[in-house]
Amino acid sequence: MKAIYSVILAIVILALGFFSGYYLSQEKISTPEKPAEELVLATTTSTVDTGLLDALNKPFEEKYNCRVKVLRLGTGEALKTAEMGNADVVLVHARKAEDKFVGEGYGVNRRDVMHNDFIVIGPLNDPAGIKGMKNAADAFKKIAQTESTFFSRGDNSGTHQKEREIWANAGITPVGKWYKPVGKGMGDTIIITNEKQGYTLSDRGTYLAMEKNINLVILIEGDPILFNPYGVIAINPSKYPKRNYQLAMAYIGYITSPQGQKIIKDYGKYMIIDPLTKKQQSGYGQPLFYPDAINITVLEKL
Amino acid sequence: MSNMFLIKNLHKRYGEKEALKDTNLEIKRGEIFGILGPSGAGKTTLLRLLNLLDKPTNGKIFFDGIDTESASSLELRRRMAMVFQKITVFNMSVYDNVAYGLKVRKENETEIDKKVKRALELVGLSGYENRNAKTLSGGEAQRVAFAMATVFEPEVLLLDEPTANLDPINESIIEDIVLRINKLGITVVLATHKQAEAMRLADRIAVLNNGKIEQIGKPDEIFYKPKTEFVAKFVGTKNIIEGKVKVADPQADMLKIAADNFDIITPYKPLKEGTYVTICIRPEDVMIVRPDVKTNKKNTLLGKITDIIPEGAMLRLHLLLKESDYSLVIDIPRHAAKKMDLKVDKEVTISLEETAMHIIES
Amino acid sequence: MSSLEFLFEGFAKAVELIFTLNPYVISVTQVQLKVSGIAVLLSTLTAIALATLISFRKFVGKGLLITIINTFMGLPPVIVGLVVFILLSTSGPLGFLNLIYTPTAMIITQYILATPIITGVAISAIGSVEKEIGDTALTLGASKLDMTWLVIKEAKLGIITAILAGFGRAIAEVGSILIVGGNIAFADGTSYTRTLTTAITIETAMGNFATAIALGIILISLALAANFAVNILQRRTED
Repeated sequence: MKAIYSVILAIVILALGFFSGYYLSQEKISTPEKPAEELVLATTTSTVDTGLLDALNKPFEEKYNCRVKVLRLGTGEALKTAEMGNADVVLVHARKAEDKFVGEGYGVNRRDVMHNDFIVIGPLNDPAGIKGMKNAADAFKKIAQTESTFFSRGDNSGTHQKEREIWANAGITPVGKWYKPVGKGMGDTIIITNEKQGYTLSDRGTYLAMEKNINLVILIEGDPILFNPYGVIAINPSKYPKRNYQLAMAYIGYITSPQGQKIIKDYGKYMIIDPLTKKQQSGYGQPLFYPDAINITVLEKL
Repeated sequence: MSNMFLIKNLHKRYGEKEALKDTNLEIKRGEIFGILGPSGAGKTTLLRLLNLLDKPTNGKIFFDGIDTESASSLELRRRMAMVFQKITVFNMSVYDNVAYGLKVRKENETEIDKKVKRALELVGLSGYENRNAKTLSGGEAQRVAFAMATVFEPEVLLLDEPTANLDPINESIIEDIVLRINKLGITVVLATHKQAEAMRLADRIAVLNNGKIEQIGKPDEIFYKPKTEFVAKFVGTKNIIEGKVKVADPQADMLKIAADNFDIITPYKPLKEGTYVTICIRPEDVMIVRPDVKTNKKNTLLGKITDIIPEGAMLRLHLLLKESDYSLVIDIPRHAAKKMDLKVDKEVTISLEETAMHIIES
Repeated sequence: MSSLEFLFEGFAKAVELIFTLNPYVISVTQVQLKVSGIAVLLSTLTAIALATLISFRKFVGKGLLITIINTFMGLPPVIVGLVVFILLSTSGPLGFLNLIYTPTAMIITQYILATPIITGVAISAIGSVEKEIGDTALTLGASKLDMTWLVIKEAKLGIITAILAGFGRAIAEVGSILIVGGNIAFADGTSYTRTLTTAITIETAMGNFATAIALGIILISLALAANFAVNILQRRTED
């Protein structure tokens, strides 16, 4: 009998610990001036690490008196966690996966938001000799032929999916010692590529943000296959009724509105926001993203 | 006088080891009861059973007439206290250490204050209140342990080798404290391996060996009339001679025992002729006969000194008996040895004091 | 830039971030301390209760419990994070609690990680208290509860070490709290579930090694400060 009491006591203590923790954190951790509403946005590393979302979300938060919780994930991970009901809205760049996500009934109201572009970067001495080529698939072919070291994200992200698309166009299945999947985010992949002086496919924004820290240059750009469109999707309210569908729709409306599109158009040209200090810094002189929801000439007149 | 403890057929086994076998004891209220035995004899086991820290495998313990099995251990334990062989104090001030027993009894502050003072006075540590007990010397720490154990005025104090880890000066301080505590009316049960300590302190002694009680009696009985060879050896009877009763004559009040190559004569004992016996004689009861003095003593034997070992104020001589295999041990004062010019290899005559010899039937 | 230069620049940046009271860094540090602090506090309560139970009581399943604790001590944090994530996901069995991507989820994860370590070290601390201490308490009239409390007090130093070990594991954690917390900071720079450790992963990923090192230096300072505070506390209680 004594033994049973002891076990019960242990369980009670564990449960007490758990619930008091829950209570305490509810009381103390959540911000004291808790806004009325919260929006959970699952998105990719590129939108966060460039600081674009900081520029976009601040006016939105003020306008709707809400807070946007940004989950910085890979595209695959972002869609997956939304599928599990852990987000209200997703902002990603992987068209096929987005369509599947909507097709399976997890998301509704997909809208085009913007695009940035991919670039092929590599060492200054360019051992594969691809600099200035117009066609990305041809450049990949050359990298494969010369067996120059190529680092792949290998994480099923939007960038990785784009890379596979280019390999398919080139008619090559990349295998061999020269082809190295990393399994990490864009920044980490660029760092590894820089350390080993190899080639990789990157989005322009992440590269520009890191340019000052590395010795890699842009070798291929401008091929239409390298364009990288971002879509925004609300979580299907009939699947997850507790999620904040209304605010998700407001967010979609906002970033596709002239206000949101203008912020996207100008971001990076004149200023960027430092993700650490949240302070404005001088820009790169070129935009990082191009708005797609409103025709650019129309937008400029507004 | 009533019994403090009554122990019946007590038996304790730890796994395979039988630590205590079929023990029967009576400990009287107010006495100092010594438990004497070598280490591993079962002294600690017995004390732990008395303190109700462990449960016996078999048998019964009555405390003040109460069957300990049927009463609350905590309630009974609060009427006694034990001091362990390993000097143990808590990592706090001397005051808090001594007050501990009162605090767990929920006594009020003023009462605690008064009693702690008195207890520290008893052990001669007044003024030590604010010292951390862990920083004290071994002797001081043991005195704190005594204050801790007596502050709540227990009826019985159980002491497990209280001087085992102390130097001779602290040993006598502690022995003094034990006597003082006993004078306050507290029954003391003292486990020790030191025969001299048991002799000095105990009113009665039980000799424990290998989990069994060999003999219970007053110190004199234990030391001068050991009932078994173990007791004899343990209490310091160095000289043990095997023999066979030759003549037993009550009229002449004489017993003649044939040993190896010589005869020994002692006062009469009711033993049959032909009985095998063991003769015990303590080293201090063997006399060296001065060669210049004529003697009519019985039991004089010739021997050669083989070794001389200083033992404090005494010298311990080892002597090989002439025409015999027996070697005897003799303690004599240094000055006497000097006077007789005793040296290794010197031949001397010794005499075994008739009345100091103790005969055990073997 | 050479690796050493990163270190120097990181150190300079750490000083700058601290002395300019950078609000983002302060907010991130606050979340870190709150999450790890509450987690370790709860772990300590549970661990001392468990350690006491295991040290002083005999019960059915004790051996099993010890095995579980020992196993959990070496559990890879990412696995813990993943399991907590699946349980707390909105579509998961505990989804109704709405805890995914909250500080509470991080607290739960760190609690699960820290409790076995604190328990394990506390058990050995209690075990190293001489047997005579407990026996002396009993013989002086202590109840079992009094005796237990006294032995725990005697094991104080070891238990403090245990808590520090737990705190160390909690405060150094990255992978698992990244999964369950989501590494969220708002646009105005206030952290919700971003800690120094998870912020470091972002800075490293972006190649901002100097900033990452700066945050790391702050993190190490915190751990040192905790040890230092405990050290002073210990000395005070010993006098």
